[in-house]
Amino acid sequence: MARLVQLLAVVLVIGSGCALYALKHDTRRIEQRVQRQERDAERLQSDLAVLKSERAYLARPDRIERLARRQGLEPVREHQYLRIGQAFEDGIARLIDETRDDDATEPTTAAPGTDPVNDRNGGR
Amino acid sequence: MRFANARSAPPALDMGSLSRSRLMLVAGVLAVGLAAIAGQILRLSLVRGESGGLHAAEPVARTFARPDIVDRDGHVIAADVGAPSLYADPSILLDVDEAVEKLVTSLPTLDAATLRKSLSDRTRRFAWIKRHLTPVEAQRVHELGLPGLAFQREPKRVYPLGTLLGHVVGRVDVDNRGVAGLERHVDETLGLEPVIGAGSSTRPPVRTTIDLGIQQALASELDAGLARYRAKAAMGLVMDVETGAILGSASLPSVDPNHIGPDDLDSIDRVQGGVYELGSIFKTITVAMGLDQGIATLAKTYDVTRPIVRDGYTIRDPHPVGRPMTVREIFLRSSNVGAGSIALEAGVPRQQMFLARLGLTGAMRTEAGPVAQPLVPGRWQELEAVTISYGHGLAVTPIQFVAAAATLLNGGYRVAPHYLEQASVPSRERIVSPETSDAIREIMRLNVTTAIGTGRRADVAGYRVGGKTGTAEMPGPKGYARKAVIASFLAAFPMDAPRYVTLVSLVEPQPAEGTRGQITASLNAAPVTANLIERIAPVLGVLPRRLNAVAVVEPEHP
Repeated sequence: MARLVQLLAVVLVIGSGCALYALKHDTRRIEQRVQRQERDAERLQSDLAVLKSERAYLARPDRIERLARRQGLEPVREHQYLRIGQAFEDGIARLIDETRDDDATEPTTAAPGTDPVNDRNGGR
Repeated sequence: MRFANARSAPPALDMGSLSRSRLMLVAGVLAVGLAAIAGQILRLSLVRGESGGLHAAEPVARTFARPDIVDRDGHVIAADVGAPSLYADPSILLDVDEAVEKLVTSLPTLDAATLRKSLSDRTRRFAWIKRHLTPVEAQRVHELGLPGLAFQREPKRVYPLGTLLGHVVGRVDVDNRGVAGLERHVDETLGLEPVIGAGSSTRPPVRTTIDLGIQQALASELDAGLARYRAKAAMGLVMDVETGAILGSASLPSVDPNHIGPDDLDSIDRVQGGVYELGSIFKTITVAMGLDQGIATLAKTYDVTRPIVRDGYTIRDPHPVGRPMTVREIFLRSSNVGAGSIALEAGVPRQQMFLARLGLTGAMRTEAGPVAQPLVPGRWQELEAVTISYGHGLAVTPIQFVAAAATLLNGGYRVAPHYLEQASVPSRERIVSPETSDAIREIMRLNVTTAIGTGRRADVAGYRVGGKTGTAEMPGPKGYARKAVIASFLAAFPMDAPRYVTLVSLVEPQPAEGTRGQITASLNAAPVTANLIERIAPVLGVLPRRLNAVAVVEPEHP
């Protein structure tokens, strides 16, 4: 009986030792992975900060203004605003003009000397 | 195993209870010791890493992570990036002289003497050499291959916009602590966030009321005005009349918070750091005082044919009309004698009270720091009442003046100028009556639309601009100088229900093409304002009048 208990104890000791070793090994590995991921996250965060600043640098308003002006864009002028209804009528009038055979007359609804541009994208 | 040995021992020893109890004692001590060892092994293998201890090589230098600062649409104004900082461990440095020589060659901004001193102390384990190196500099130092040098990544503040908001945003010190402007305010209200290494802030960005589009339009139009009229300096402000939110604030020449030189430390934010006698734009305040105190109406006439004489000084109009004028005409023709007559009728105590209520004689602060204290005359008698009525003798900051003007334009409520988005809307405190506000709107608009008005060049088709000019002679060593002026234009739009108020001031403008040799505000500050409003009104969602029936479309902020 006592021998059996002893044997069992020895087996238990060896077994728990092995289990402990395996567990410890696993823990190490997981810890390493966590550390690696933390390092990665830190690096990515740092990259993100740099990219964000770089983006802000590239999108700085004075540069955008310079580039926009080079493209021939400029701030919206008062006469470039049209009511949607009026823009629609202008379009119809222009269509009618284009389908006519005789000389193209100016759309009657647009004030003389104005350039009816219904595009507000040049605002900024 | 040892237990087994202990158990197997007794048959060999049969000497009685004394030796047996000794044996038990030894076995017990052994058992306790083994248990302790087992426990320690368990603890080390299972909870390893927590205690860790100090890594001997890690420097214990602290820096601070800062939250980003963004504009009202979330565009970055200031941010932290990681930058390598160079330090040395003097105790393992091989040859100090060689190290100093090589370092100074690679990093020319270093001072050889101080560097040698800090590296010569062999008892030290840590000494900064240079903070925040550029990648190129770091590579050069790396290639030196000197032992005892190492890098640590630290947060470094960058301002991608350069000079665009230089004064307002302020600056940080080498440890990334805010020392001026909004940066300082952030530290004072949100506290410091110490980090080791290049940790970035976990805090949400600080949102300002600045609109980068407006700011750019303001800065570039001021810049154009500065060049065109060869002015020494310029300042401008765009403010929401209801809330006091500042959408744009510029002071030229500007500073770049990325590169603060010794000269930049003296450069003040003229919008809130400099006090000026702003001249005739103050007549807006004087007329409002007359109306609000029940002294005058817009139709009341004053005799402005004779100059005002007080204490031996004579106040006259540069271009006298030679007949009595109504209050409306006094404003439109910008008559000093007329404004002075209103102030004299109100009296000194009432004038002092009214200016104090508008916040023009007291202290003020914004998130960008304290506003310069107004220069209130020590002696404030009738003569001073007259000069103050047309903007001389009382020097205030532009931001304080614009806040007072916003009150006159928004229906009469106090506004507190601010740069950061506010969580709650403060309760509205009435300063002047809505009727006074209506009258001010009317005459400011008239000043731009009528032939006799001084603000005609500020008109922009469709946006209903109203405004007042002011050309103030600057005080010099020999009294007021006629050729050195501050030309200002106070404007608001759309005038039927003002939403934004602007101020453009040029310091010492010179005659230019189209000004016929003049340096008055109506010929320089007014057209600059017109260019500004033409650019910002569409961005701010202010539509031309003929489209008013259509719902206002909020413009997209890219």
